[in-house]
Amino acid sequence: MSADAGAADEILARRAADGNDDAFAELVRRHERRVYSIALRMTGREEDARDAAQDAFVTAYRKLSSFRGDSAFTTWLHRVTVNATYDLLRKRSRGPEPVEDVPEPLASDVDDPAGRVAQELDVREALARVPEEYRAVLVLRDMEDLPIEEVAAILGVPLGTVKSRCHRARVALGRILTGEPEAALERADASEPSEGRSEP
Amino acid sequence: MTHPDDLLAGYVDGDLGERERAKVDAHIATCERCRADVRSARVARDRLTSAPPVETPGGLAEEISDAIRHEKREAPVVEVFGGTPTPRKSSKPAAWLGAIGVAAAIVIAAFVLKDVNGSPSVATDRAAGNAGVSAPVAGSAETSNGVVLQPSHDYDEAGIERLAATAASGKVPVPQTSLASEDEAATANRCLMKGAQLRGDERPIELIQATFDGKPADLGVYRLPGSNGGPERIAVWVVSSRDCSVLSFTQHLLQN
Repeated sequence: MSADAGAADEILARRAADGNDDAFAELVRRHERRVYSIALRMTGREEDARDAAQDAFVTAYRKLSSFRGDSAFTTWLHRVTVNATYDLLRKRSRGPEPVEDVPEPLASDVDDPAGRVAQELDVREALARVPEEYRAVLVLRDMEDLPIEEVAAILGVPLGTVKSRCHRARVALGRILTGEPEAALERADASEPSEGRSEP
Repeated sequence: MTHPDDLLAGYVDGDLGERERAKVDAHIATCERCRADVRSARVARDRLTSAPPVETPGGLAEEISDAIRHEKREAPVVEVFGGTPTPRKSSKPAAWLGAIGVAAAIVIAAFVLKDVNGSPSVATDRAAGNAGVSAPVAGSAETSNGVVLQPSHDYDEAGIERLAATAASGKVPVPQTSLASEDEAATANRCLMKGAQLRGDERPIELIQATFDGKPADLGVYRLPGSNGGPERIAVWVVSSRDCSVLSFTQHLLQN
């Protein structure tokens, strides 16, 4: 995002916090694509993604006055979005529902349109098996193509932690995709060491 | 052996500097586990980065807009005088509030206004000694706990009675709202002044633009001085937004 776009976001956010609903509508227009995309990739279901995107914007609207411009508006909004997906998934006490009728993956030819669809479904299903905190890193870093520093800011964890988490999440997903035994991922938490990993 | 997990993501991304990359190369040359992990990570990264972009479904922005409106209608109790209020900050008090006087300490006006698309939007303005500051105001006869008001719904006679009773019990309904323009506020106020033939000694507690029995209406909740030394009263006038004619009226004695 350009500096101008960021500045415009912050101006719009301030106006919206002062009660200008047109300003908030403009923020929605600017950011609904990314918010929905994050939500869909986190939840795996279109219906849930709509709900989570809606929740995210309602929460953002409610909390606008707490946005102080310490971080970029998008960083703040994406944090709200990720939290909305966590809330939704917890509320429903389930991860994304496994996609049914997935053809056997990986043997497919990527030039074959049907194969592409199969591959996409396969990624979605594999992502659903990765714990949320790790899934969020994969979604933001590899699917939304955000810089790792941005991902750390969105998730509110140290950079080293996010780097480690990114690698471990990729390893876990890669093994799921290739049918290898899944890598164990402990639930991420604040006490997680941020550097390295020691052999047990 | 310590595995450089914090470097391996950057390694897979090709983001490492020369020194770090050499360090990882040296490590994975002797570490089968990390070699295998890097292979798996590359599979994952390649698949994730080649996923097609997500198409935003049509109508999402409208759904969000509806949800925001619903959020406003369901605006939670705003604890004006005892809790932690979270109303929108106002940048300036509406001009007509100036006449009321800061000594009154509490003047709250809320408007539910139709925007250009005809959809309701809510606005509030407050002058609580210090415009825009929502700190509790102590020591006023008007202080009380907050109470819920759903100002954009359709009022009827019973709703007007409830509104008056609430105000008469010393509570001030304050929806969590945003600021109405001065022009909109002034228009609503003029219509009430004209339709209800207010004398000017009424202190507005709340002004609402909503509907009454389905018709666009301005509602005004006022505190009136008692007649002949009697107790103060709360009066609610409802006037048509179209022609300012009176649609409803009720008054309750203010309970001290």
